[in-house]
Amino acid sequence: MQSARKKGAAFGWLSLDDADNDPGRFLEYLVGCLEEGGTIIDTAALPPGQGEQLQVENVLADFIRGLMDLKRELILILDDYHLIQNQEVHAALDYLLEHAAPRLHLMLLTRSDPPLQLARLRVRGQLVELRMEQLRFSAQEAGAFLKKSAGVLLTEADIAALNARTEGWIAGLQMAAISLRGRNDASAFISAFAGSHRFVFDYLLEQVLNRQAPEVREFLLQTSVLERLSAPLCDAVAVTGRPARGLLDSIERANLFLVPLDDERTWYRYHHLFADLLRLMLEQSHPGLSTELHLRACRWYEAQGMLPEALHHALVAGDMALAAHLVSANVLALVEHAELAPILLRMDATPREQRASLPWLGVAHAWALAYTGQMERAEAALSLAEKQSNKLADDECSRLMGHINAVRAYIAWVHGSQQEAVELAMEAAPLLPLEEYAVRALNLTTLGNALTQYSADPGAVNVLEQATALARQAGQSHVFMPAVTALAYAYLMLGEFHKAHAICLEAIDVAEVYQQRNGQPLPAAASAYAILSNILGEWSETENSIQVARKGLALSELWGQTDTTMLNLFSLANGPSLAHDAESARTVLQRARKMAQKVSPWFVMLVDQTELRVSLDANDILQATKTAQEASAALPASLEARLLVKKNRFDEALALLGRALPDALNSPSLEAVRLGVIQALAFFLKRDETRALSALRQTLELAEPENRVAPFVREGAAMEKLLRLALAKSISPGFVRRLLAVFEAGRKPRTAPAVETLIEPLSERELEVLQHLNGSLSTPEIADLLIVSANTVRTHIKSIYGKLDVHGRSGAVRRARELGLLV
Amino acid sequence: MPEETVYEIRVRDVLDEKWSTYFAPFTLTAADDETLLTGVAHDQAELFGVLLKIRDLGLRLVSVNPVPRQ
Repeated sequence: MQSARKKGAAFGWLSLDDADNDPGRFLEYLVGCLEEGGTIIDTAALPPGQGEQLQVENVLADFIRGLMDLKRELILILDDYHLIQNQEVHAALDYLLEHAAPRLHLMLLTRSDPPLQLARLRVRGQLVELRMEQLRFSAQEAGAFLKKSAGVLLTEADIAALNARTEGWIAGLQMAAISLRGRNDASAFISAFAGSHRFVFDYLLEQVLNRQAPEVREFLLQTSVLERLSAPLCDAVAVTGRPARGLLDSIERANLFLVPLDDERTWYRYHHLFADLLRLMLEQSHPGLSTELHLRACRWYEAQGMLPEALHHALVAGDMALAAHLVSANVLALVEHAELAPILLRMDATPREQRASLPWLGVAHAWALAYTGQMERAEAALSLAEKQSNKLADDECSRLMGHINAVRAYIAWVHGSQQEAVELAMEAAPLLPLEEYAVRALNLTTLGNALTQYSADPGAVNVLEQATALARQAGQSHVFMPAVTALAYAYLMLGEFHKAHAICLEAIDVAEVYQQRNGQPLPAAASAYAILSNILGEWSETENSIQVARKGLALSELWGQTDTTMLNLFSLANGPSLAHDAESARTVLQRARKMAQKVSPWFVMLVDQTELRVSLDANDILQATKTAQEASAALPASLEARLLVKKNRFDEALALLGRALPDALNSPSLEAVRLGVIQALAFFLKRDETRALSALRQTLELAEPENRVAPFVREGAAMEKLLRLALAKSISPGFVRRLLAVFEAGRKPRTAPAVETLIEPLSERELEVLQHLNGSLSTPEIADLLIVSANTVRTHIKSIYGKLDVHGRSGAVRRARELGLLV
Repeated sequence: MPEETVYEIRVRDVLDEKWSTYFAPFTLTAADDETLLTGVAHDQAELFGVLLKIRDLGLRLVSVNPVPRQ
């Protein structure tokens, strides 16, 4: 590595594990570890968009292009390659070796010859192999090593015997050295050893262990169940009477195969073979204890919030119900940390005997799939789990059905099947045991959301207050956030904007505390931002509304949760629409529609409605009519009526409003104010001033308490005229003045487009380069096109990334779209 | 390959009693300078599972043979 650095080569080191058998993850880590070494590979294909399939060829093409751009050699080291069994990963490496040479140097450390095109590489002289022969100690090397570490004088014959018996295996010689220390019968030991046919490692390890103090021996045996060791973890797992810190230090000093994993000596691991053998010896000396040890480790990890590790120990201990509990209670946190894929892989790898408890694995899998928008697969997992539920005892079975119904309720809600969602959530509730606070909270959140999905429902508030209380008891931000934001949404649907606003601010506070304490944002706060953005939009605080929606969107992208992302996209479209920037709004909605089509009809319906609203705000009657005709579901009366009014079909509009208003006025909701505004406008445009003012008076009274500004401001000049009339007649003067002030502010000249909020705007040249980033040209090709040097282009790109606050092409393109900078 | 083939795997290392749980359901028979692992593999994946355990321990594989049906 040092000589590589000296030559100016770039390199990356990737330590592989089982989970890297997923091509997407493998490629992501590959790109990531190269970035750490200072080599940026720009690929828009990674990570794949939500709901999209990974296109391996595209990633590889970007990778190869990136390598060609590099002016230096790249050395890539893959450690433990024998763990990779996935054909796609092998194929990807073959492809790279074929196309990326001569710049790329690949180094594989492996226990088995990898199934790559080795023969071809050998023939071409492109393969260097270091095999056992080259790696083992020669007699000379063994001699030097033993002289230094055994602290005992050894004859040449002794050294030769040891080297022969261990076959030059370094770890074996190390153990021999440890066993020889302070012995005065070295030769006798060595001839006994040389004469034995027992498995080398077995023999020597026993020797080594027998020479340790009892607490050390106990410690080694008990901590062998751990993949990694730290002092606090060991104290929780191994009970030896001595604190772990001291023991770890002694073991390290004695060269007993304890490898530190960091410079601070916080974490260690054992040499794998050493640990394997210790585990066997543990089983022999304390049969069955390992299960208890794994459960202790699981509890410690859970308390630290380190869920994949906790789950690993639960699975090894064979406690499937615990494993499923860990996943379901933490599913949203796991989605946030993108930790579900490796967990799912681990679950698939559990041994056959344990799969008898498959129902719980299926349920855990289903939770994960559902919350990442993979509904069909989730249902498949649930059906399978349900079929196998009869294997479980009665109360276990009830609990399982509770989980199954809760996940199904969530799926139904996302799908828009309100009735089904409510029924399923209500079935789930009594089946879930009291202590499962997190899952109960999630379930009630789904119930509350479902109740308020299409219309306001005061009942939802009760349910969601309960959900929030349970979430507090569960003590998890990831469960609390969705519950509390659902409550805000329920209030919003009821038209109680101030209450909703207060809750959103509280939630955002909680998120900020979390961020300060944990050094990273709480993506679950994304929903709070979406709702807050809606509220600010309603109050015509347009700039703020857009900023907040942007923040929410960035967070929800971090989290990868579909419904939150969609909510944020709608808010983000709403802002520009109110600011008369239909184009930006429509760009956002394009993205929303693509996503919605993959997830559920309910989202598609919401996209339709938002698009219609945007067209109406922009007075684009043609497009509005088209959207209304093509809409997938029935439209709310307020939108239909607005469209009719725009088309000057006042009588039809008033008839529709006449039918819709009474119901809307009877129950608290958002619609009443909207309908009232349109009614007043319709009368006014029909020149029926009396009725117009009467309708307006009623609507203003309804709208004032919650500051419902947007419905009035949307209707433009005509409404402004009507409001002036109202002011003249002293109808709700305070509120009307505020509304007129908003109209006034909307007329102030803008030096930049309403949505442009870049602190440092892009220069003309940078804008040019930006357009090309949205294509497939490489940096040198762009330079050719613009007739400048590649370095100049690179400088521009760096500046663009800095101003847009992104890290790569795909990010830049996305941000540019949001800001309306792309032609 | 017919279902439920019995295999005999030889390694040139002597493994003692405690390894039997590790290799279960294969049973171990230790001789002077080698160990015989005998057991039923329902499919190739199961067979390779045992072979990988042998690889990972650094044992020295000598042979893998199906036991002829009597």
